[in-house]
Amino acid sequence: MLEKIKGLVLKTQDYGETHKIVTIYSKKIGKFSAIARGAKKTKSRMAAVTQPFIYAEFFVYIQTGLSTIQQGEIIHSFRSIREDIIKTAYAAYIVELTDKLSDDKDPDTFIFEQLFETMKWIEKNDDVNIPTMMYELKLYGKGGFAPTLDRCSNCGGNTPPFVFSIAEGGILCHHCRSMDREAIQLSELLAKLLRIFATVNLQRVGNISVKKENQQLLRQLLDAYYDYYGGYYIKSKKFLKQIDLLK
Amino acid sequence: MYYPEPISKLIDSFTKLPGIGPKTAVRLAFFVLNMKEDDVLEFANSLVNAKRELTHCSTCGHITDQDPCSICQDTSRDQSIICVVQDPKDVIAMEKMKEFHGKYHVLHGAISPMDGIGPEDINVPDLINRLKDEEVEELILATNPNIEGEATAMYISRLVKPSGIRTTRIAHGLPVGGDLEYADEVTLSKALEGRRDL
Ligand SMILES: [Zn+2]
Ligand SMILES: [Zn+2]
Repeated sequence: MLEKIKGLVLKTQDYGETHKIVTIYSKKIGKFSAIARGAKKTKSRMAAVTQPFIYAEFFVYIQTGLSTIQQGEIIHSFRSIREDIIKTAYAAYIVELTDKLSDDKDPDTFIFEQLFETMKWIEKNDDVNIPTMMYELKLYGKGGFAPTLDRCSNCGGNTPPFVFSIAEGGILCHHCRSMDREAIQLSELLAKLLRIFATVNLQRVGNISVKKENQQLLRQLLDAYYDYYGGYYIKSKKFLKQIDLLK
Repeated sequence: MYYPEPISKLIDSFTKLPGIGPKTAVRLAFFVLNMKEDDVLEFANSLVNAKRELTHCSTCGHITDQDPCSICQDTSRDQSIICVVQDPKDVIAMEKMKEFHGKYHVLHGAISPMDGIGPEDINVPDLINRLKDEEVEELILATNPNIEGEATAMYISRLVKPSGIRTTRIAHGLPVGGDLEYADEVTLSKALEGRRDL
């Protein structure tokens, strides 16, 4: 069945001397992989449309085995991302997480929109830490390990001050905080921010300003949380750490 | 299908080569059986020698049978320009063109954010050392026009800029002999951007 599918290229792998296998995230059918024949040849019209970060309309012959991309028209190339090494590193991270934490052909309109909005944000802004974390928190839900942030993950209560417990998988209230000695102190503001990040659309939060040290704390918290629950090794994360030094 | 062991071993060896499937491997193996013994010996020796005698030039990283390589030893070449490429095959492609007379630096790969391959994982530190020791005025970044190649070029140019060495990127554009109407949007816009006065 030949279908018209709009989607963002998450990754490509070489297939033989001349072909590519392209993994795409779409609103219509979620994540899928398809072969683009001849796309490795520089003269192929498919070469440009089958690069990571390209948003395009693909004509795909969907099959139970490996689907085939017949043709593709670029809608948005996210060119300014690929022309900036720091933006490239962040986009690579976003896209790799999406690939690792989503299942094949399991469409999710919300995740698709947030992925697209986050890419647009990275394209236009230099401050990308917060939008990256917002998207990550939403993806954790997709991976089945969303942290509990709207109430105490032990008693369900809501008494501040809160701590964040990696082991308990979310925040702990004032009464339960002794359950985890390694829990991280959260100011009321940070607890609230985490809750907003995990649920609210990036478009609605817009330009939220968070102090550098709070950004760093949240970053460490998410890294530790992902290491504990995430399971998949994220290759682009290593690069992101190296590139941070260039800033 | 059953083959005597020496033949099936030979078939296995051929299938390890790129672009050779089982059928072609069988055809090649039987072709070898019909070759003259001297030719087969010479062929086998070339394989072994290519592997044993070739190393990487300690200066530029190109494959060579003498260190430094013939390009690095050639004093008639322009010592002030280094062309940075990803692969030894790229040096050979550039040399075939016969229009570049500077020197090379082979990175043996590219920075790949998606694969976690950073600058330390390719031949970048050696390049930086060369820039300190040699009198280089221009660095031509001739990495591939894809995400990895661009990331590599950007990284090196950022690193080198403060030293005052000129860094240039090879142009991206339309393939010679191609048709404008068949070019994709990204290539076309790059080509337009790289336009020049006539
Ligand atoms: Zn509690
Ligand atoms: Zn050399």
